[in-house]
Amino acid sequence: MGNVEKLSNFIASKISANLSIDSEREEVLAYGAFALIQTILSIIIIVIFGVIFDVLIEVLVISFSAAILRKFSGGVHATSPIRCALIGMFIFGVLAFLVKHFIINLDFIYLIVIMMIAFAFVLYIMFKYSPVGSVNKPLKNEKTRKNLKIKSIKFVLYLLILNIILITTYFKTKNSFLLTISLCISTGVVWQSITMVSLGHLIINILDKLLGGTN
Amino acid sequence: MKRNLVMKVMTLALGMLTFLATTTAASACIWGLYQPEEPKSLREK
Repeated sequence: MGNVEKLSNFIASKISANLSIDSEREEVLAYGAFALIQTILSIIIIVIFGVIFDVLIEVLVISFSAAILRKFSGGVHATSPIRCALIGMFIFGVLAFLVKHFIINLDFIYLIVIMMIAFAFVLYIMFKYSPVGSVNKPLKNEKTRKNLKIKSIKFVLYLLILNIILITTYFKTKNSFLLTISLCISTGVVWQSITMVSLGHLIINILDKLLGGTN
Repeated sequence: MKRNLVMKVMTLALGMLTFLATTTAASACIWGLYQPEEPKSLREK
């Protein structure tokens, strides 16, 4: 059991002891505490990386786009919470660095074409594969699967509309920050889509093994 | 007085963590790249 699980169980047992609740409810509390700690830990590590490498806004937009879409569409998982946070930091950090220092320098017309291809790819993956379950959460209920697929597609469409607004505004104002945000959103959802197919599984499994994972 | 405050904080934490667990269980996975096993009572039927 990892440190995050231990801390979650400790918090749940403290609350349970004080309020005299049953073990089933305590399990739910531990799960809620885990979700909270894992989210905070992941965000803190990403913020530290962003501040150190001067890509804070980029890394936050990429990670939030990917993570929110992930809540609906699922995907491959690391073998421990700490490895998850470190892999997330590495992947989102590299992507943020690429957006800030390389992709943004491409001609505007190429960027538009790349973003159109990106959203077409993401929508295709969502229609075809979403949601992707895991060993600990298989997602076998047909109603749940349909519901999550609809939410994934809706979320991507909202981001597409937001991107169109950002690019149109950029075109009028020439404020490059808007273009950067738009590129980061596209990058985040493309990465999340990749984690739903075999290429993403391969990348995450390699990084997980490098960090000492056993799967 | 102190005991009363502790109980209030615990009750607040109970509500917040239960809500968080329930909403997390309704999504495809937890935030990030790790998914722990879900509690039996929250698993889909």
